[in-house]
Amino acid sequence: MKLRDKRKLRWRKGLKGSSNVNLISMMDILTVLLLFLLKSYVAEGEVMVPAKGVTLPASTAEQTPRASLIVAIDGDAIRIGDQQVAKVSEVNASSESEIPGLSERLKELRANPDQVAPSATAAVDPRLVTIQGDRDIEYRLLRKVMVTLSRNGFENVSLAVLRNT
Amino acid sequence: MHKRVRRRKIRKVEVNQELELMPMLNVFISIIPLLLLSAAFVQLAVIPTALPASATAPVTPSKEDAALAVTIVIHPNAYAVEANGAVTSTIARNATPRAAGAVDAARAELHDVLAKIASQHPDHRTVRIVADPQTHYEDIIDVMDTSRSAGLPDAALADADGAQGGD
Repeated sequence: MKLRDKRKLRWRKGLKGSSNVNLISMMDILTVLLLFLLKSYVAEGEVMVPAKGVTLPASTAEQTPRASLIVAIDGDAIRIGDQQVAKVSEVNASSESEIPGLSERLKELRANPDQVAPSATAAVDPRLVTIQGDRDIEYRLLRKVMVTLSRNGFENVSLAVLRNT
Repeated sequence: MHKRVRRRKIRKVEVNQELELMPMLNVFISIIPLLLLSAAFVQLAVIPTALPASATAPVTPSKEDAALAVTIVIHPNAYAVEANGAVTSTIARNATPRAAGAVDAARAELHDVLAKIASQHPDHRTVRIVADPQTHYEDIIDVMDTSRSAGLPDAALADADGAQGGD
């Protein structure tokens, strides 16, 4: 009982001592964090994130991306947003120059332009589309995608690349 | 008594020297989420291109371009630069495996050829890139980069059979 009282007393004493929190170390962390974030801050254009599973090719291009519809092509599927619209193996097997699944989805998007880039902060050019292609895809696939896009009214095509710094 | 008062004064001054950090902390805490939202950890860029013009109306070359149609054909093992349909130079390249040195050498040579064309026709900006169906996307981007650095910044994709579009 006595021991317990003593401990309680000591604990109270400790509390009293720590009422003044040392903020300097926290400020240090925040300052470093702030500098780091300022370095990767994007003031102009739209913040664009590469799609999952797509390794973009590196390039010396400088132009910043704009808000637009994003079509991602990786090793096995063509996606718009999170939705898979066609399989690469099927597209490569068909002799048609258009991709039916992609075409269908694009027609839906033409009908509801609000869905084209829902997360965009600026106004979206309805004819603009950005292709995020994996660096190992073949040209015949890219070409089919581009033909399908242009036939469905998305005529301004941009290719997304990683910026070499 | 006097002594005691003096000591107390000194202590007071010491207390006032402590920095008032809370306002700064508040500012930082509100700035950091803001910066986090608009931070891009992967720097992306875009290359605007013209389509393989099968569905849209054929691209009509502008006046200064009418005199010259520069085409780079990407073969599996060579680049061929054509001006007005005639092959002006062929550059051997090694597509597989993408050995860094070989790729760079071919690229430098292509750059020289294109820079020569660009210096002869300073108003000319467009280049057509004709690729084999099996060409890798990365190689096409490489060629676009090369032609941009050589002074021909507008790249248009076309088909391997030579006709723009055609399907």
